Amino acid sequence: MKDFESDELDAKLRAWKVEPQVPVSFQREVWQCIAARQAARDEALWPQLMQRLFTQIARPRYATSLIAISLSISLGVAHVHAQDTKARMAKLLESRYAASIDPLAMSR
Amino acid sequence: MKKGLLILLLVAGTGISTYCIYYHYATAPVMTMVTQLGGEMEWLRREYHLSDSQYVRIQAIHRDYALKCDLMCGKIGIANAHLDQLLLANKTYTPEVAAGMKECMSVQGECRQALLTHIYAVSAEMSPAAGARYITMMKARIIEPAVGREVVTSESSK
Repeated sequence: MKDFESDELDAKLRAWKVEPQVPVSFQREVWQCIAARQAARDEALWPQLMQRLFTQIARPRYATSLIAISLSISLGVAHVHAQDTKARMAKLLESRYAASIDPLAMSR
Repeated sequence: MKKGLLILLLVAGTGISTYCIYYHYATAPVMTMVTQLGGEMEWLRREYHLSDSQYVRIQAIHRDYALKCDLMCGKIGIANAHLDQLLLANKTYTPEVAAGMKECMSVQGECRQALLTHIYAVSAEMSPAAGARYITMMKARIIEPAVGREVVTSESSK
């Protein structure tokens, strides 16, 4: 009896065919889903990075370093600009002096 | 997050104020010379490292020369005006135009001589090295105006 049932089951299983019905829009929906998740991850990346950056900056060690770097850069740039201004002004004063003793320059 | 933002603001503020303070103090002396009357004499004192006594003597020479310079300016102006009138009145190179030209050149030559005398007098009051540098500068500035400015550069503009 049992053998008969088993044979019948085997036959049914052999005859059973699965034919999945894939919707037409399946592929498009999959890609939409992937794109949406990617966008959500990208959007979350910047706030995370900023959060991390600001947390690091708040540490005394980094804050002190940043201030020191800012001071150095400012001093360097100011020094270069000041040298340039002094050179330009010196040339101007030199011209003024030359003009002050040159009668021909004065009479022009 | 707020603390980090505050620190960033502090860093930016420190940088900007450091720049402004340094620039202001570094350029203050030269800016004072540019804005004050007679700042060019102060420039001369600094440029040629004049001692107080040298500076006083050079100032005196400069004052004496300024009076002569004004007179010469007047002479040049009169000679130029006269030549201008002659050039307008004559259509050819007449003896009058020639005389006018000669007068202008004579006055200008007189001025050049006085200028050179002044330059040598000033340089004589300086140290030998500074005096030589002063003559080189004035030679390029006044006596040889066609010589390019790059030929001579003042010490402070280097």
